[in-house]
Amino acid sequence: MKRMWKLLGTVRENSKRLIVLCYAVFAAGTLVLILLGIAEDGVRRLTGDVRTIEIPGESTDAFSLHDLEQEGRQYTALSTDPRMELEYSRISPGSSFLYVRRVTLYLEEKNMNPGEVCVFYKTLPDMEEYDAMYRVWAHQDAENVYSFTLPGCKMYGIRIDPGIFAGLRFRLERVVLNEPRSLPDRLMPTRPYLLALAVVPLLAACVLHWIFCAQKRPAKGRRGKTAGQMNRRSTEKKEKGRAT
Amino acid sequence: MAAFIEILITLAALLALCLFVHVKTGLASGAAPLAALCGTMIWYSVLGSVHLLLLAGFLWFAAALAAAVWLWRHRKMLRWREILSPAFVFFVLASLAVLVLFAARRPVFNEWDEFSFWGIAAKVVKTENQLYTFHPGEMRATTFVPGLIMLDYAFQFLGGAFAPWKVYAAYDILYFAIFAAAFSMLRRRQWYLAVPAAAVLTLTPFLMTVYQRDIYVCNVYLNAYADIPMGLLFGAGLVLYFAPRKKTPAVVCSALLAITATCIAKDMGFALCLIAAAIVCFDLLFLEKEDVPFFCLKGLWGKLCWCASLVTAPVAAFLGWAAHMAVVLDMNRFDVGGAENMGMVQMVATGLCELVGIGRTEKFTQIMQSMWQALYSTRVTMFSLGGPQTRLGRLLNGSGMIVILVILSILLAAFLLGDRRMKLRVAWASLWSTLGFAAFYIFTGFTYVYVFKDGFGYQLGDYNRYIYPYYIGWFILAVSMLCASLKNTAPGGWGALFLLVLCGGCIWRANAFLQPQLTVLDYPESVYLERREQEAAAAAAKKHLTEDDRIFLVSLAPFGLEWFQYYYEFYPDVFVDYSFGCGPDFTPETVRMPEALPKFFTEEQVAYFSTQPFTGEVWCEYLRASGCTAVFMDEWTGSFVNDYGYLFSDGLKSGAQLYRIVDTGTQMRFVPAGEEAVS
Repeated sequence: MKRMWKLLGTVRENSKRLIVLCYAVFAAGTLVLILLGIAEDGVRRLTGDVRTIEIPGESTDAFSLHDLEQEGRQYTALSTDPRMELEYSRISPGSSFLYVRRVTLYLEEKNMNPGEVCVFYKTLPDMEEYDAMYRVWAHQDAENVYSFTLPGCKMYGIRIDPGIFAGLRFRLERVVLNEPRSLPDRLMPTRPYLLALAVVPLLAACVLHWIFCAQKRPAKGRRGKTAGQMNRRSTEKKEKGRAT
Repeated sequence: MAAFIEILITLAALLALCLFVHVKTGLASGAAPLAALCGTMIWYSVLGSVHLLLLAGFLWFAAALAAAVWLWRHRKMLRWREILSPAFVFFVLASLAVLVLFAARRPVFNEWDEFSFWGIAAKVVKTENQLYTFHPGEMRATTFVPGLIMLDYAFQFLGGAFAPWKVYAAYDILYFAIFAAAFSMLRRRQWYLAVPAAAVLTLTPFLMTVYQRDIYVCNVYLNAYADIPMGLLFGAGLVLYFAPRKKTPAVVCSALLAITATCIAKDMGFALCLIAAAIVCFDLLFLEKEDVPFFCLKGLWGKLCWCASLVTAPVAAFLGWAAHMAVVLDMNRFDVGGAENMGMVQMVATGLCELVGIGRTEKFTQIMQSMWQALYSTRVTMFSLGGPQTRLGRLLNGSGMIVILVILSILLAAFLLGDRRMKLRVAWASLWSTLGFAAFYIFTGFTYVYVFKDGFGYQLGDYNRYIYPYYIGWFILAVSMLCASLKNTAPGGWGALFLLVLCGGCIWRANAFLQPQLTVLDYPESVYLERREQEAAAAAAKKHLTEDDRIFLVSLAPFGLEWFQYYYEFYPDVFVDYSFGCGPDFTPETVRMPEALPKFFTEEQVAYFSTQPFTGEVWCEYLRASGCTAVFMDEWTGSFVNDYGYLFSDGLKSGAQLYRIVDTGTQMRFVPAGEEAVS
């Protein structure tokens, strides 16, 4: 432990160690967040806040349909903007919100690719209209399986836009809210995460480096020594050391 | 996978050239990729203009191979600590990342001008192995300068098939080379400056072009238009010169290459490259105290020769392309045409006269007033706070004026943090770059007055796209000068803090305007859905067609974009007739315009087809005269079926897209492809 603290103390002087530390902290932080997410999800499921809700495709009252014609599990879009709005009164009677972390669609297109399948959501009780800023696009998990990951907060409205073409025909097997996620699925990094992994630790290291250097600088004379002067000084010291 | 390996080899060849340039000339390793890429653009453009494009490619790779061999033989000379500077490492990693991303996701062209020029031209050049001016086919625009298309070709040279994602990769690699050059003066021990500088620079194309939180995919880093590369190249010439403290002949020469590359990136690049050349020349003549020999000429004569070269090279590029246009296309480059049908010199002279009040017209006054108003009221960038209706939003509105203030603030910081020499340099460059902006802005106003049609001119159409190239280049220059000033300051000072705050601010604005799912990083595949369907439809049709076929395209969608898209898709396997440019105007009452008829038609044919209502019979006569062998149906309406359905053997009910033209001489019928034998 002592050794570890000593090692951590050296990051103030050693840039390489500082960068490595930042990467390690970021990676560890990610792992901790994932584990916390799993734990929080587990607790919420135990308390009943988060429930896996499976809505069969033939259900006629779970969604209010706009520009969509339904015959059992078969749906046909009547315009370029078909919508399926989740009926909270049917899914969660007496509650104005639901915890929805994930929406999974089991949907098979019949005549064409549905295109921009997306899910809109409302995060506030006073949001009157769905906002294009509050939407997520599908990740195709397998053939005919589309999943949407939502922010983990309370949802006051969910709307599925199943396609962008008039005449689009599809068979909706089921819609699953909060389908449990496997550990490998949770650990699989996304592209934005990979970018963050590359950049955030480096930027954090820059900030820490600035703080450490600012602490070392004399209170007066803000310009201090230039990098060139510092290097010259250290070279002189080394040479002196060699001479003695 | 093969395409990925091909482009990886090209990148490796480029890196070999970069290292060779670095070792032989002493140019910073971070600046060498930009110098090599600008040299590549010029090399391919020059040889392409004289019909030696294939040779240019072979020689380029031969030079890269020779450089690699030379480097291997002199590997002990390589000082890896110096080579692996933050800028060089950034360039290599960012380029590799973009190659992996694009090779995996394979984006395709999706914007109008990519089909009318920037994408199709690259495809034509790759297919024909010659410049698009020599064999343009049915390309509607052929007069644009070739620099960026030649850069695409350099990255397409290896491999048999054209891949659109390689075009995007080539552009992005150029961007990263420019960003790397901007902080190439920083060494490894200054990594804490290089990281925020790289982040700010990488965000620059977003910061300067996105002005609202959009609900559609933002195509920055995913687009083949020339506006952003031109702006970045404008900055490239400046950063190559201003980044290193010591101005060696190699430094000035690399700046010269970038300035010339700006000139051949887009027509407007000529104005920008002259401004860049002037800023560099004024610094070289009035501030640079050390000698910059021009071959054996030293002192003032050497500098004067460099200045002459900095101006002559882009002018020569401009005149060279004018000569090429005159010889190959039989067109006059100096004739800018447009609303007033003026020559270029006449346009500038008239504009200047009107500017000082001589013969000022009402149109000039109105448009110039709009330009002035747009400078402080039109949102063009991410540098805004609050909604447009709020007081804060009206004040910090992301307009040109706010951008100018941001850029001048960065330059002021560079001035305050620099040593005496740097202060002079920053102040001098700030003065000339500000005056340069004024000149560029007024010149853009002239184009609205004299070139664009009245409606477009009065409304300042595409205002931000014409203006932001200057902001991009200017911003890159400011960040580069800040890095140069900070290089000699102590770590932990105000300068480093300023850069960190700037970086934080840029990330904050980018985060406010962009969602990862709507950027190059993580765009949804559905953005290319319609294009993928077009690809599949064209591929299916090609199975029934040969290169001797000529297809007539029917697409009644508005604007006629589909013709360009399908021309691109069918090229080079099947020839697509211009088909009157498609569009919804396809009725038996329509009278066709003579410009839309094939060039090989006789005068009598043109006179006939441009006066007859386009009935079914006339359409059949047109198909017979133009040599069309098939009809490809993209989008049609019920009234089209009523008017022309009788010509189709299935009455357009079978859902087929490709129809063979079966002509008995007296009667013509369109039969679904594959069923003509039965017919």
